[in-house]
Amino acid sequence: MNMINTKSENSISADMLIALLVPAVIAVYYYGARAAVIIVVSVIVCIFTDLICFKLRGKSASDFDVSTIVTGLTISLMMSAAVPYYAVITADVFAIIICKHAFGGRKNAIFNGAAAAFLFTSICFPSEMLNYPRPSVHIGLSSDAVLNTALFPSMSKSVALSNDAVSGSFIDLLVGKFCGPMGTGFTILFLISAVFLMLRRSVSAIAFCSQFVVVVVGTLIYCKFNLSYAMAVLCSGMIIFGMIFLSCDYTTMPKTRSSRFIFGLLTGVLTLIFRFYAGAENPIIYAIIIAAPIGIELDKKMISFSKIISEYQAKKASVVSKNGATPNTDESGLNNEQQ
Amino acid sequence: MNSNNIPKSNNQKNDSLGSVIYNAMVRNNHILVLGTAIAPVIVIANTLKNAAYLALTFSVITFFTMLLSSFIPQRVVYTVRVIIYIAIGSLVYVPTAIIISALFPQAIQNMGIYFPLLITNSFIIFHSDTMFLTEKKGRMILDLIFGIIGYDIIVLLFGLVREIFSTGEINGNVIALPMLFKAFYQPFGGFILLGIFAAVLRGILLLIKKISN
Repeated sequence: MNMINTKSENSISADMLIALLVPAVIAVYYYGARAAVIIVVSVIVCIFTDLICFKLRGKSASDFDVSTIVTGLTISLMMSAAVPYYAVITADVFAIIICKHAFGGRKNAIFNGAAAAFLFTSICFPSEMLNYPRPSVHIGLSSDAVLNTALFPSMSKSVALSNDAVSGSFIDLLVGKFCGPMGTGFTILFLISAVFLMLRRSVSAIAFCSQFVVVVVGTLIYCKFNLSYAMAVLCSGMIIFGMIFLSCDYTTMPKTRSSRFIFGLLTGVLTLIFRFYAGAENPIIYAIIIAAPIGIELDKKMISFSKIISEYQAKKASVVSKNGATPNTDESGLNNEQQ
Repeated sequence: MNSNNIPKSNNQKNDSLGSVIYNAMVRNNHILVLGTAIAPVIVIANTLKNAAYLALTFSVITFFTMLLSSFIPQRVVYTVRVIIYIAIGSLVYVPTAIIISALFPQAIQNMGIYFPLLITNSFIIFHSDTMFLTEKKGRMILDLIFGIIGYDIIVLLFGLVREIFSTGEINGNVIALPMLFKAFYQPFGGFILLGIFAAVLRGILLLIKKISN
């Protein structure tokens, strides 16, 4: 089977961290000091919760890895700039305790912590989590400042409700200048990040490209090639952000090329279904939550399928050699599959 | 559920009443340790009132079904015995449903399909032969009563905690909480909360073991 030799986990997490720092800076530029505080609080809570969990599980603090910081940063970027701090803390604690340590650590996790935590908190605090200030409105740090700020539904929700093109220029869509989570709308930046991460082999090119193609083509077909509507759909709802930082998470990502391809297709199709038929505001979150455990199972199925193919080819090769022919082609095929 | 977790009957031992109670209610707690009949707990017990309805109906149906089932000879093959247990459960269900609907008309509506499904709970089908019906009558009744009480206590506690955190109320009375976790009202939140309960109980049991050693 085409098993992929990935980089070390810390190296992948470090690359992810670099890719996430840029949108974090832009989020602070758009939303001011409150965005910075949310990001810092999120990362610190994740680190402390992780260390406490290691202590409770009797593990040493040296087991701590960079992925915890990535989780904290990812969660904060998925939040509204007006979100109360307790919602951020709840999401962080949920991601680390329930999604990571309850399963016995990151290697055993079956869900992406940030995605599951976002879903949990958006069910717990829907009005706080899913209402957003306009970009370039700098909210104060206190909760009173939030009360005095006008909040709006996300552009993703507006697009889903109107089923038509939205106001805002093409450039605004690409640079994330619309109502939505504070760090998930910079589409142009995320596409550059995706290329960077794929070149660094920190994100699976097969999984990313397959789901990207499915989502883009599916959206264009559904929108009847209305480009402004298609762009609004693709740029909002955390779709590109989710594809890179949530769906291509190395812990929940299948380990073989073929299963990664299927996983990408599955995530893409689920995203489209949740977006266009369920009207979900953040469809990729639901798609990832469903696809991740299937992806883990896909690996096992593909490996056993590969074994059946290998056995069949070996049998064929032995029949050919008995008949006096040289089984070069079959042998090479077998070797390729066994790698 | 892991079959290794299923405790065998202890009818060979002459345990004290205290250890019988401790084993039945805590060490082998039917929800948190053995995972018995957790589906109705997750779905129904989202408030204290609903938890009380569940505890009451579960107790009545399970106790009388198991008691009557203990008269079925062990010579009868397991497959046939299980069918007879379910038949007895169905017979017990009819008067229970009539009484419960007369006393608490809302209860059956709140429990929905999970009320009749209590007849086929794993307490009756699965643990009857491995835990209860191989024991002597007196000991079986003790184990059964305290097993059911252990189940009920956890159901009530679970309903109470879930209601407090998800709606900010205790039996409909509002209490001032700074934030509410509405997700705990949903079945998936119930699973998470029950998992936390189980982890806490296991932690306490480990601590007790550590101290006693």
